[in-house]
Amino acid sequence: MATEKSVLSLLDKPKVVGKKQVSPRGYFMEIYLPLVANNAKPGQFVTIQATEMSARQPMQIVDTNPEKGTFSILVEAYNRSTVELVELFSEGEELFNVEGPNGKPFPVEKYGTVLLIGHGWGAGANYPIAKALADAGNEVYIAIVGGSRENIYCESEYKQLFGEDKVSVYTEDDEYGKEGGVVQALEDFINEKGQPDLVVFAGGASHGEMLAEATKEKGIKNLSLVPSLMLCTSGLCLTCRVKVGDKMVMNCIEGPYLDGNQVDWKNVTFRTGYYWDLEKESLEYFLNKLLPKLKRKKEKKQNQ
Amino acid sequence: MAIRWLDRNETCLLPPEVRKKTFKEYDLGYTINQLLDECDRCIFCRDYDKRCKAGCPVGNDIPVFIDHVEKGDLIGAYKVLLKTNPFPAITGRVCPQERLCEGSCILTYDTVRKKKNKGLAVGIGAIERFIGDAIRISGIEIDEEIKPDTGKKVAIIGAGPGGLTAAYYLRKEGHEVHVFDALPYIGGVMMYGIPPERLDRSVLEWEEKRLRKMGIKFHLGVLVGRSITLYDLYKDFDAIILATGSGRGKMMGIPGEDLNGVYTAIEFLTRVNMMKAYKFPESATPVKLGKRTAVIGGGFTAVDCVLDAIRLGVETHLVYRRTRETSSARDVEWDHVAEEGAILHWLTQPIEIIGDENGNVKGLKCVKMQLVEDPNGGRPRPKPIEGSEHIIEVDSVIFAVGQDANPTAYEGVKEIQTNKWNNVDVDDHFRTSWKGVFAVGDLVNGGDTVVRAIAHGRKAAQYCHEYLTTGEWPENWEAHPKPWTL
Ligand SMILES: Cc1cc2nc3c(=O)[nH]c(=O)nc-3n(C[C@H](O)[C@H](O)[C@H](O)COP(=O)(O)OP(=O)(O)OC[C@H]3O[C@@H](n4cnc5c(N)ncnc54)[C@H](O)[C@@H]3O)c2cc1C
Ligand SMILES: Cc1cc2nc3c(=O)[nH]c(=O)nc-3n(C[C@H](O)[C@H](O)[C@H](O)COP(=O)(O)OP(=O)(O)OC[C@H]3O[C@@H](n4cnc5c(N)ncnc54)[C@H](O)[C@@H]3O)c2cc1C
Ligand code: SF4
Ligand code: SF4
Ligand code: FES
Repeated sequence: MATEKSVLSLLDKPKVVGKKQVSPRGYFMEIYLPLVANNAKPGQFVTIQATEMSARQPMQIVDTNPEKGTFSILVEAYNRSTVELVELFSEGEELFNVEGPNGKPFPVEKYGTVLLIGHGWGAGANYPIAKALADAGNEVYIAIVGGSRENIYCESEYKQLFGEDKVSVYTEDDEYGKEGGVVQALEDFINEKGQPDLVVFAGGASHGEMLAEATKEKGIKNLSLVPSLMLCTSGLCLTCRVKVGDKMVMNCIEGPYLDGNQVDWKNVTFRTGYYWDLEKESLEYFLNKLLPKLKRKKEKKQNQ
Repeated sequence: MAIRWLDRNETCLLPPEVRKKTFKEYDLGYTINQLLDECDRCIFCRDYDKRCKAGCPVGNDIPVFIDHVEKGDLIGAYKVLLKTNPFPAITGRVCPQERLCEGSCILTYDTVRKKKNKGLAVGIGAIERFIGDAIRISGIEIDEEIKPDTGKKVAIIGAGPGGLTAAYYLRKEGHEVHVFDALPYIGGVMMYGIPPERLDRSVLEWEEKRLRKMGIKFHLGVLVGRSITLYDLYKDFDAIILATGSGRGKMMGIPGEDLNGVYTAIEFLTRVNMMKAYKFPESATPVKLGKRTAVIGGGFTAVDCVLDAIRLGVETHLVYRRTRETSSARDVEWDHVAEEGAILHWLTQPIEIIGDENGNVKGLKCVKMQLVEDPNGGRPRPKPIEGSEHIIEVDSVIFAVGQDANPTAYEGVKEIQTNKWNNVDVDDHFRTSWKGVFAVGDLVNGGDTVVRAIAHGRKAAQYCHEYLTTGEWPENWEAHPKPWTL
């Protein structure tokens, strides 16, 4: 993590500098924050609190541009805080707070053949890891998986970087690419090329859970991003605790990529669902009450 | 004039029915007449440095500021306080005064003859709070004298009371001061832990403005150990002060801790106090205790959880394995929460959290305890009573059973020596084993008080200033054997 530049020269207020919608709910956002742009390592994330009233939201760092002092994230806007982020912020606007880079960098080593499976936003999360693993001399393959075509991200970026034959696309509703989910992607790969030496996963917990069942059974090493709930993201509160084997791990400072075969995924899945009803309520409040008010305010400001 | 032993002025509290429905401060402090009358009770002991002052960890000149108040000079009183304590409005509220300054006031205890006296202590805390609040709401700007720039840069890691105090005194010496914190707010535990009903956030906001005006720079959202390393800072700064606290949440290791609805005190308090879950859904961060909750523990963290839970409208049970008398929180605090409707279960030890088929908490299984004599003469120990198992029906459980070290900033930094609790070793000048790096507060003593962290911050600032001036560092550094006495 040693930086060439002095720490003080990298500190500034976080600001959105670009926003690109790529699907009904998918957005790439480019954020100016030189500290993250310069210090981020593959596998690390930032915690975004968009406004004073927003929740703290972990987001994987997809790409960095140290010269410009920016980095990008891929946001799938489903819940309150992600919707806030894409609805309220556009070019030039300051965010309340961005903490990062955070988490442990992905262990980039020579594993051999690596299959990176990304579900939904997970395809973006895996992107910097795929590049680093390829640079480290691994044979890298990519599977991009989504519920439907709308959740397929980074396809052209991956293809450009690794070649068409290294990248496969799956949708669970068979609308696009091959039919199937994360387990199908693994099974097809094994049938064609044999067992990979490592599977890397990022995306929702239920998909991580299914995939881990398969890798455990087949004895394949599995490093998975665990999308646990998080709050402080600094090792204080234990909200992010995950059982890995018989150990309790603080995902925010020890993860987010953990030994997928050892993670108690059942627990992760049911714990991340705890606030489901309140998240719905919160989103509705935002869309029906807060957003119209904020939009009016903004228009007024622009008219002045 | 006759000594006024017993007619102490007590501050006015909001009535239980009112205060249990609001996150607003419930202790309203002294009125101006109570203030003046209470100052009148101080007998201005000549040897006050062996009495109230000795009981105060920062060594406030208590009768000196009281004298200023009596003469109608609040600004003068505030300036007396600033010499030893930059945050009187905070300490006046949160110090456990009965154990500190007030516990050493001659009216209640003769510290010289070591014997109890017949009276009630001067209300030092409430007087101090009044002085701080008066300046805060008067709109008067107190000019802080800041020495000319020295060209030296200091990095302070952690914006809790220890770090903020070090920042204040180092800036006054003319150094360039940068404070880093992982969280988006200053205050440390005072922001995410101590609830607003005990420490109004407008106080913290005002103190932050003061510090910024002095030219102190804050960098919030930087997790040292991940976003940057101590080595990065070591390269760029002339000295470093570690003030990262010891605030990691803790559980007991009983079955059921991974159920939905189980919180550490730190998670629960952070959601409510820092992320304002009490304003949900306007604030996006939720908290979900269900209809009934159990708070486990007997210290001031447990009290704070109970205060918050009651204010969220939840039936609140407190479960502690010892008795009320042997708990570390104050008796009056238990009275306060009982008045607000908390159900207190003493001599009750939780042994398992029971869940339903969906993985949600539905009860806390406990055993009753009895206190038995310790054969070694220590304090009586709780022992389970056979066959006393019972279940308290609750939808959530909050663990307020202490905190662990939070070593993220210095983990793997071999230059810094740590102790068996994973806190940082220092010598009597708050120097760590690494030249130019100091450490203060809970990080050093494993968990004490706000005012202790302030005391550390001021002393460390002085030693750090000496180091920046002379460059001197001991050749044979040795860890202080009893850091909790510092
Ligand atoms: C370390 C880490 C990194 C992360 N990185 C990213 C990232 O880079 N980009 C990103 O977008 N998110 C990322 N997340 C997740 C993010 O922080 C939010 O938690 C997430 O956006 C909300 O999705 P969730 O699955 O947790 O759903 P919840 O918060 O449980 O869901 C909120 C609501 O959205 C609905 N919902 C969520 N996802 C979908 C879906 N795919 N299809 C249909 N409905 C859905 C749920 O049904 C629910 O009603 C990351 C999480 C962690 C822990
Ligand atoms: C719930 C609760 C109630 C309390 N009530 C009282 C009370 O009423 N009166 C009283 O006197 N004391 C009270 N205490 C104790 C008191 O709050 C602490 O003793 C005091 O805050 C310690 O101050 P500190 O400066 O050492 O650290 P803290 O206040 O713990 O601050 C440490 C700061 O460092 C930051 N940090 C940690 N690691 C990193 C890192 N790696 N990088 C960047 N930043 C980092 C944290 O985010 C935090 O802001 C209470 C404690 C708790 C938990
Ligand atoms: S700082 Fe605390 S202990 Fe010291 S005099 Fe003030 S209230 Fe008392
Ligand atoms: S010990 Fe009590 S009476 Fe004496 S100076 Fe201090 S506050 Fe006043
Ligand atoms: S999110 Fe608080 S400890 Fe990980």
